[in-house]
Amino acid sequence: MLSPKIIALEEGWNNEIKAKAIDVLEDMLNTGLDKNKPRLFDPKEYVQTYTTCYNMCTQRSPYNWSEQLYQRHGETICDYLSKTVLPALKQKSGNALLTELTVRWSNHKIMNKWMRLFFMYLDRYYVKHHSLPTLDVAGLKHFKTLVYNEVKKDVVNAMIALIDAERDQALIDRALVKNTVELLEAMGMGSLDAYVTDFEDQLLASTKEYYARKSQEWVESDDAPAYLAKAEVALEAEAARVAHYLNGASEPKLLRVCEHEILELRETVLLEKEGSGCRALLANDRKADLARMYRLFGRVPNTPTHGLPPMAALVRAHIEQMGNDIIDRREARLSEGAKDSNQDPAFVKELLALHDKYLAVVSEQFGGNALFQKALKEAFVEFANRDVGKHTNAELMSSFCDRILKSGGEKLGDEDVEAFLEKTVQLFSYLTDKDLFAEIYRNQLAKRLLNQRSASDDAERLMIGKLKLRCGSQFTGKMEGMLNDLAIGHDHQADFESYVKADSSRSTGKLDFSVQVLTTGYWPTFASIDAHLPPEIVQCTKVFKDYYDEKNSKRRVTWMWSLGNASVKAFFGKKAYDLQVATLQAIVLLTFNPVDGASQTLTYAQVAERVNLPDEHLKRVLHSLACGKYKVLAKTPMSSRVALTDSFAVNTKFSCPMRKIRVPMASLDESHNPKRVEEDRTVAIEAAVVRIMKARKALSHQSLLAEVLSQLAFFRPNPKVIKRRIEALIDREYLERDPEVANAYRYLA
Amino acid sequence: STPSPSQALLALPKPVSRQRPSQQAAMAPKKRKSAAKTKTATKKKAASPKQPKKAASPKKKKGGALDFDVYADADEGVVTFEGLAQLADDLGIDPSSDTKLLAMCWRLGAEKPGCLSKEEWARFAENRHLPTYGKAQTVSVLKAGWNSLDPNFLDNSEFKPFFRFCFEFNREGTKRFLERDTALALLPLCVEDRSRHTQLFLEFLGTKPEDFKLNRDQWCSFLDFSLAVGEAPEFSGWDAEESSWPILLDEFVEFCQAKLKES
Repeated sequence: MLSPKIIALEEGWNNEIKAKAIDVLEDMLNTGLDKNKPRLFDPKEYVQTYTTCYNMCTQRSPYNWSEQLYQRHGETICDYLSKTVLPALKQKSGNALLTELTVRWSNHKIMNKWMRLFFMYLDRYYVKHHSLPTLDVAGLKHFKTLVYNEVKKDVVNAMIALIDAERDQALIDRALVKNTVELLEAMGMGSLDAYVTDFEDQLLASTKEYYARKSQEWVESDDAPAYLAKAEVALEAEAARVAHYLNGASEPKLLRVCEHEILELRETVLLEKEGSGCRALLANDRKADLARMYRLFGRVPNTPTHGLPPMAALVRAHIEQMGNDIIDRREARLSEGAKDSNQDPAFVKELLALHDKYLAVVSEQFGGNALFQKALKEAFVEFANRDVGKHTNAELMSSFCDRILKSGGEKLGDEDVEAFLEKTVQLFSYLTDKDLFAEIYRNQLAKRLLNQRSASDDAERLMIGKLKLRCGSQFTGKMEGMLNDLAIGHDHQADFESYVKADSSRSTGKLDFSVQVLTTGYWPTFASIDAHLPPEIVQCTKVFKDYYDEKNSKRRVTWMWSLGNASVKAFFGKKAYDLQVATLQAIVLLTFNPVDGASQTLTYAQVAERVNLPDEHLKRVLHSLACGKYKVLAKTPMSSRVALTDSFAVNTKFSCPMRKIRVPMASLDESHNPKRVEEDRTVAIEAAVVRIMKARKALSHQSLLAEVLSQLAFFRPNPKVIKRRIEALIDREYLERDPEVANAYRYLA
Repeated sequence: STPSPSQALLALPKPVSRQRPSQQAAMAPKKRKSAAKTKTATKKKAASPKQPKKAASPKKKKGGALDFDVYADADEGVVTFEGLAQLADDLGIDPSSDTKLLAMCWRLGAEKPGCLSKEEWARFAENRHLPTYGKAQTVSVLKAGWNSLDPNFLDNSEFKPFFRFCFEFNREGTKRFLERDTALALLPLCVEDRSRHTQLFLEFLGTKPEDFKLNRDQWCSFLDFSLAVGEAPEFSGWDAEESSWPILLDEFVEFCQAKLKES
């Protein structure tokens, strides 16, 4: 029986392991690997070596050669590296060095692999028992110490040279770099330390220097858009570079360096470049260039001087300039003699167009970025509140809407109407005195509604809806109330008519009488006129009053004779006409009915006495009847103005081919009452102060001011105005000055 | 025109007959040097014009009892300015310039302007700040300790409520303000040397129209302002932007600054 033979160390090593495995291996590596041979050692050969090692490691002591084998494993590798590999590398430089290194590294991996396989048994027990590095790791470490550390400086320089060359548009062997990168990664032994410290840091430094130089060239030779185009190309190239042959972790750092040099440090110069900077691009509608500028500077972190904020500031300045130009042009027109009326549709349209344009720019070129939206808004707030001439921009905007919503105003299709209204509401949102706009709009709406000049109820509601969306229902309450009054007017009228029919004592005589009830508070205040009415009308009012009192016991009705229409049947000779007139006109006409068969001539004073109208109304009425297109009254003397000394009579010679005639009358210019706005503001400020103090109990002066300003949505009062209101409230003992804290107030319950 | 009761404490030349219902009675102040400065030897002047008093009031002697009924107006049931003037006369002081009289009313806790009720009058015995506390309720006792009422003894925090009282007590009835001229006379009297702004402020008030009204907030704030803000023209402690002082005081500062610019 054969007992296993003890293998002596040298014998086993030299005869078996070295000769049959290591030498073979080294030889194969030195002469170049045969590509046709997939495995360097076939299984039989391998097993033999493995077994030898195994045996040598499992022999009983003192023949257990684990320690020695482990040592010799290391020594073999070190030997090979220092005697063969390193000298070969040292001979080369530049790309040749890289190429050689690639080969040598590849070889080492193979060597390491096989050495591990041969001595694998050591890994199982010996290594673990003695807490030593595994064979694989040990081999790697040897490579790092003996080869890598010696050549890394030259290697990295060569790599960077290649990269720089590629930046300058040369074609390089990317695989070469990639392989070297892979080596660097491996040298980290689980971390990227080697890659970062030995290569990446230097790469970043050289990149920085490269682009510092390049960007300087570009800045000197190119205008801003051209520079940015080059910059964009460079950044994309760098990103691609990382993807192709660098470690992914380098990408953010590399790009940051590039962005810093190319964009961040040059930003101010580029933005402000004469003729091609941000404002020039805006002025010339260079959309693509603007978009690129936005994209690129968006990559730079935002600070007040870098990134997007300075660009937004320039955008704001530009829009402000454009807006102020529009206002300046209006101012010039006015000073050159243009009529300073409450309408300037061309001006409003210009503002709307400006807004449209830059809304699009912000959304398309600047990706809807919040900074730019803010810039647009702030710019508009700056000039939209710049009023020139007698009429505020608020009024001009309101009149613009009036034109659109009025029948006989601007002729527009439904979509256009909505578009204009929507845009006007957007523009409106920049006004500080929104309450002024509301007051004016309300007055104009009332006029439209009462004179039946509103083109479309739907359009009115649409506009009010938009205002409501933006400002809340409190803002539009009165406007909606007005529309509702009219909407339910029809039902009320039907109700009234059935009331009249129900009882013969309730008669409106020969008159077709209809009443529109207006809720006070929603409508502007109209002058109440105590006219002397013809008995027929008086009768009707009595009947209606009875009807209304029955329905609503707690309400009081006041008749507004300055509003309302009448249809008067007039006989001139044989011809009969239907005169469509205002109620006041009707009253005056009826006083000219013949008395006892005789026609009357009345002086102004007599007319005034009979109808009891104030001069401002009476003059208008008589003018419309005697001096207008349809002279139903004859005035003595004939002239175009009504004087207090004139006399009037029915114009017997009156004739007209039409039967139904509308006799218009100049309406009193009932423009909005600025006092009303002031009063409302006083109330609003005081209410806000009390509300805030009630909630907070004690507050400093500055804080109270700030709170009040933030609560007032529709106008922006001067701090002094607020202070005045605070004093008034102190006087009325709603609050007191805090006796213990200076500059503070306390709520008095 | 009927002078206001506030003017009763100030120098007014003509005596006016009492009217009812009113607190409008004004006394002709006797010509005396101010009590703060001298102790006048009071001699009863038999011929001195006295206000017609209500009938059946016991004749009071100087040094006599501090009796409510002696000084009160029988119809109104309160001591009015008339009674106070009489008391002043008995004390030998000038009611138009002696703020200790005001201090006395303050200590008595007078609630309504220009008069003292019976309950308030009774506090001569109860309030330890009054010289009559714990002593005989007589005019001579009051007079002996009169100087203790001097507002100059009060420190600033005690002075504030007194200063406010000066405003409240000199109003007309339920009105919540002082007329311009009343304020012009009353303010320097009351504030004395606690303010370095008085002269300029009076000049400033003088530029206001005659119907200008000074309200309580402005009056009290003048004192706070005087204590907190430095002298013209620097006005250190006053900040144009952050000032929560009444607008009147802001205007005052601007007035002074403009004035000093001109000179």
